[in-house]
Amino acid sequence: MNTDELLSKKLIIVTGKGGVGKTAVSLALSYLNARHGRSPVFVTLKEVRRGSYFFGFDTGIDSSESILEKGINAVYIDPNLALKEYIRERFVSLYPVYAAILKSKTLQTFFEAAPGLKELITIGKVWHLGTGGGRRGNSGPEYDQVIFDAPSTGHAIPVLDLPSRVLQMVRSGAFKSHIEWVDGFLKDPGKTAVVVVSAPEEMVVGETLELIDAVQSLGISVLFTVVNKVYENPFSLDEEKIIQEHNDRKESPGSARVFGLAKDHIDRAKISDKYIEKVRKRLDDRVLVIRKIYKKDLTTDDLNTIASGLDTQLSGIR
Amino acid sequence: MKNLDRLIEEKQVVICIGSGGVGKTTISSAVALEAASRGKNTLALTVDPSRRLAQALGLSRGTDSGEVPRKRMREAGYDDKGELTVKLLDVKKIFDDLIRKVSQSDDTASRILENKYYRSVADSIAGADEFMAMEALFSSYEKHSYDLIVVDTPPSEHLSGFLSAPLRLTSILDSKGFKSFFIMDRMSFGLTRLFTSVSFKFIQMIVGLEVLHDMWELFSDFEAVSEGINARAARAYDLLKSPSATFLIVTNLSEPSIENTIKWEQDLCSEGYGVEAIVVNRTKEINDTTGIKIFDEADLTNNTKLREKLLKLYKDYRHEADAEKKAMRKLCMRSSCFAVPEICSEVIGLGDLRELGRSLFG
Repeated sequence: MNTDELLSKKLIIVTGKGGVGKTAVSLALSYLNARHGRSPVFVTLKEVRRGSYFFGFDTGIDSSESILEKGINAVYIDPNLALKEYIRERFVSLYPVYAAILKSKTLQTFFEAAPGLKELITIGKVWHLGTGGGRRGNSGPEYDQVIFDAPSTGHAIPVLDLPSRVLQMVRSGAFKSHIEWVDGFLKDPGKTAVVVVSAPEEMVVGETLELIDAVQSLGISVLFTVVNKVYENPFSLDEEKIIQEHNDRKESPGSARVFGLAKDHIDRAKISDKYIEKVRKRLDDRVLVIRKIYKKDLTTDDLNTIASGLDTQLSGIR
Repeated sequence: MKNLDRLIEEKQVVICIGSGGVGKTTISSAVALEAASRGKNTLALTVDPSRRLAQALGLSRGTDSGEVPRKRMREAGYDDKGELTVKLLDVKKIFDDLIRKVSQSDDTASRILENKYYRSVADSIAGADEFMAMEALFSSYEKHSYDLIVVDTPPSEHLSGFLSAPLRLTSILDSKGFKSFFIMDRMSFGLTRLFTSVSFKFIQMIVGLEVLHDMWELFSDFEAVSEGINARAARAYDLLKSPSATFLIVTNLSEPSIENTIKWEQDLCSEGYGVEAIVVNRTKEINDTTGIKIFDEADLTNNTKLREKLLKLYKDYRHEADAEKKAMRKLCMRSSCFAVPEICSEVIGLGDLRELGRSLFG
């Protein structure tokens, strides 16, 4: 696996346990695209209002595709707007008589009430961004890659499974072929791959391994896992010995604090290694690592640093 | 408020909310264990405990309900005055049980439960998770067997999902537009109003006649049970708003989490819910005062290389801790806040939960 393999996909779905850093990794992958002269679109299900903190970007993200930063586009999917778009493009353009539907309260209600429809439209919109609308396009897709900052594990799996489940139900109708396109696209490893974001902790790694199994059993390819917030041990073995000695004897409170901190850190680094190993066992060399950044909130510089680190690791792999 | 003792003494229901990954399951387990330790017959409704935590809490593989062995509690340093039952929330099962509970007849219940559309998508309804957590809470409360119920909620980015899910679901099914849409002749699918026939044809074109038929059947049968669901939802809300219930908002100190927490606290309070406290989990504590030099760098060690590394490490941790301190002050202006420091241990067991509890209880 290498950078080319990553960049060759049309759709990267980034998922993982809540709080591990899916958004940061998704943005870093967008930066990675830009570094290689590609044109990515970052897709989120959370609207980013201007003024609220979002990695220090000076613009927000709304439902119209816009530039987040030079070379990187971003969009937030609003299912209601996506539904209207879908109807307009697929049906009203062919059957103008249905134009009134767009304002129909019945349709609105149906959409709200019909379970699963919102999620289906969302995944349909993601597909649309990745393919330029499939067979109907006169122009090809605008984006080289769609990076979908997907919901966390528990929500992601049902959503990824939804097209197949709906296909089992829908026996006829125009919708059926549309869902088939989406389902086929998701299950084509040449087009779509999942990136799982993990962290070196028991709960997270347990869920990561289950998630990899779940995605693969849906027939969707897992490209790699990124273990985030990893503690790295900067000390040599000799230095570790010295630190241990200092911890064993009585020190001034200040020194004790520093050596105590160092010892805790070494322990954390060892735990990190252990969990990375566990994930490597499952995915062989398809495991990338992001070291912990000692900040409360990341900035765009940090995202660039992360992108650079991922790039290096990907190029280093044979 | 110095600690959360009052919560255990006075409340019957505690709901822990917060974004994904902040530690709701850990905190709600710690609260439940402390309550049981103090003699309260406690129920912990949990969502996604890690396997080892689940085991530690008495949930063996494959089961969704268990009691925490008293011996284990004693070993961890707790008293075993009260009993702690732990239940895993299974959304689909709760939904099915609810349908059975509110159906007038077994026939209606089985028709709904076997309906193709229901089976395919019931658990993907947005807000279903939160709704079911509420339903599980309410059905446990109804039994009156517990002194305290601690609810660990599914991770939610939108509080509105939690608060409004039941109302949304039932009000949608009740809404005029929808009802009129489905007032149709069973045999011919004729409709009552002209404008809706275009919508009907359109929707039929999209999803196909069979799906529409399945949905129509589901919603017809559902109409019969929606009143029952509505009634239960209303009583669940009453419970949440009563003085017997309270909310804990669990969070970390990232900017987005702080923004969310402040907003949720405002939303909850304005809706008439009680927020007991904000629990800030996994704080980084260096435990010294900012700016004051606590050690003489030269005294640390003669080994220059090592000294450099130590100072860099210390600076990194310090940087993070300082940023958190500032954020903590901002967050805690309005509500009682409790900081639960990050513990070093790898696996969360009962002993660790007791350790965590010391930041919350007297």
